[in-house]
Order: sequence, then structure tokens, then C-alpha cells
Amino acid sequence: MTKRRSVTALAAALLLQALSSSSGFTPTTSIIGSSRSAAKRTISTPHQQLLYSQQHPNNDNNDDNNIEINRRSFTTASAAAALSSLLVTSSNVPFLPVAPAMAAYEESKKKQRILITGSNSGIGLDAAQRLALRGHEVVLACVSCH
Amino acid sequence: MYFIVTTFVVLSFLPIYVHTSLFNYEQHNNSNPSYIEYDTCITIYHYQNNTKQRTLNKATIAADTIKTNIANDSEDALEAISTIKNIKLIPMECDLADLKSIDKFVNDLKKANGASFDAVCYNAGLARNTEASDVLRTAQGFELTIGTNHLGHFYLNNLMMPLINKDTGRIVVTASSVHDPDSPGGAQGKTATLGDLKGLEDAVASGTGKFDMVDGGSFNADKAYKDSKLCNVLFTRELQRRLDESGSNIKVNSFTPG
Repeated sequence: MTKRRSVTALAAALLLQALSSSSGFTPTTSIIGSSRSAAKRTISTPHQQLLYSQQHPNNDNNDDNNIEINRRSFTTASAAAALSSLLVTSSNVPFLPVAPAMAAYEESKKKQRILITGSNSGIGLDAAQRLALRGHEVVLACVSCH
Repeated sequence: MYFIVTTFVVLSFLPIYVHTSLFNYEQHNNSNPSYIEYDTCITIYHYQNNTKQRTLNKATIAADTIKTNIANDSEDALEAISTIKNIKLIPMECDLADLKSIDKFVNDLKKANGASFDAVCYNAGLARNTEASDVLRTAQGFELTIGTNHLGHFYLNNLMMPLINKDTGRIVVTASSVHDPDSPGGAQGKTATLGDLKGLEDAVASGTGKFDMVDGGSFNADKAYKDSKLCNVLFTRELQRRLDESGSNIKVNSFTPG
């Protein structure tokens, strides 16, 4: 159950990341596709860059397109993204610090109205909870019980 | 003899220990309401808010689940209740396997919430058992997997587009890496392909709208899911291209949950 929840949390964090992405799906930037391009994409947000530079202190240029990044560090970065978004939303985790960059980013966003289809389970439910906790108005669009 | 003395000593100290633990419990209880009180508060809150609504649909259950999760994750009951009262969740019914239901949903949406959205997540999706051989259909006769995962969302998006904020709007589509025959998941079994859309052409030509697979082949539940996710990715790309052409600033992304 715990594993299932953490996997869902990670996927939901990816959804939120796609939601807050400043660029759209153009042929040059793709979230989906090869894991390599996904990894590049994942470390492109300010918080991810910070995290990456903390993990790789010797690597000065994070924007370098030739960064070799393996699956493990991609997974770690995604998990951290999931965790940090968790930290931003839950104030009752005293022993872990709130990621300042992420928190500032969240504060600056105005409250939005968001529609999520299939939000009765899994990623949709988790994402809806996180967005609602951040003060956004969430419309849950689900099928009815038959 | 030694045993009896030990037992006596233990028994004589036991009430003190029990009393101390009870005292601690009460102390704790004074500073924070217990979980029993807390559950009661949540139950009363739910009761107050749900008595008008006789029939619970999945969206209402989802809203309740979120509130319960927030309550369970919280350590401070009063804070949790104020959080639960403040969060804005609007449960609505939308069956993507029925275009009429989508019509009704968007009409209700316009009535209830005005006409502006900042972000839309096309996240709903279903995957049938990969061994399934019987073709299930949407209300309009489309194959269920493609019909729900792609065509339903496509139709919903057409209706939603005027409601999405032109300057800052975001659309997110939940796709999957199995759309890609080169990915580890996508390489298993029959790989995703839409062929030359013969299945759809035949469906239109027959006038019934019924098709088993987009490429006109025989039904394969696993491939239908992969095809639907390929449709999601192509939909994302083409929608972004068209929005860019029309000068809209809406950004469309798809992602794979991993």
C-alpha cells in the first residue's frame, strides 16, 4: 500500500510539473519520448537545477545539453520533485525542510480553477488533493456509479 | 519464594504505572482532541454537507476521500477541519464513454462555474485486461479504450477550448511510454500503430460509428490501449501546433507517469 501510494505520488508530481511547465509541447521540447529527453526536461526547472547542482557539486554547467544522466538520477530527481511538492503542501512535517525555491514558486502562482478528468483514483485523485491544498479550485470530473 | 515477591512487587507497581499512563493520555487529550473526537467532527462535517445529496457518485466519493486523506495526514484536528472547509472541490459527473454525458457536463459547468478555466488535465483513462477478446463499446459505438482515452477527451477538449484562459491556460494529457514501440513497455506484444486509419474510415462509411481497431485490424485489448496513448501524444502535439498557429498562448503537454 505504501509503495503504491508513493508511486502514485511520484506520478502526480510529474503531472503537476507538466501543469506548471512554462513551455508547450513543441518538437524541440518533449516531456514524453526517450527517457533521456525526459531526464533533461526534469532537471530544467529551477528547483531541479538546484537539486542537481547539490547532487553533482563538480558539474558547473547544468544547462549543458551534453550532460550524461542515467536512469537512477532521473528517478531520484523525480522522487525529489514528488517529495518537495509534498513538503510544500503539508505543514505538519517538522523534521524535513520545505524546499525554498519550490515554496516561493508556489506562493507566486495565483489561485487557479482546474479541471481534472478521472480524479476518482490514482494520479488524478492525488493531484487533485495537492492542487486543492495549494488553494486552487478543482473540478473533479468522474463517471457515475452504475 | 523469590517468584512470589517479584510478582507482588510488579503487581503493587502496576496501578501506579497504569495511572501514570492514563494521566499522560489525559494531558495529551487536553492539548489535542483525540482521534475519536476528530473522526466525529469529520463525520458531522460530511453529514452536514452530504444530506442534501442523496445519490453519491464517484466524484463525490473522490472529494470525500481527499478530505479524509487530509484529515488522516494532519496532526491538528482543528487545523484539519479549517483546511477541509477552505479547500475548493467541485464534484461533477462526466462519462467520457458517452458524448451526451460530456455535453451535459460542459453545460452544467458553464451554469455552475462561469466560463473560465486556468488549467485542464485530461487524465481519465482505462485499460482493459490484455487478454480480453470481447469488444466493449462506448454509447456511440466506438471501441471503449480508444473511445474513452482519446475520442472522449478530444470531444471534451473541443467543448472546453472556449473556456480555457487564452493567455495563461495549460492543458495536460496523461499519456504513457507504451505508445513508443522503442520503449521497454511499448515493445511487448503488438506495438502501437494507427495504420492508415482504415478502421475509422470504415466506421464512417458504414454510418454506425462502430470500429474495433483504428487501423482496421482485429481487436486486441493491449494494442488498443497502446493506440489510445499514441493518440494522446499525437493529440497533444497537433493541438499545440494549432494553438501556436492561431496565436493562442495556451501550452499543451503530455507526460508519462513512469
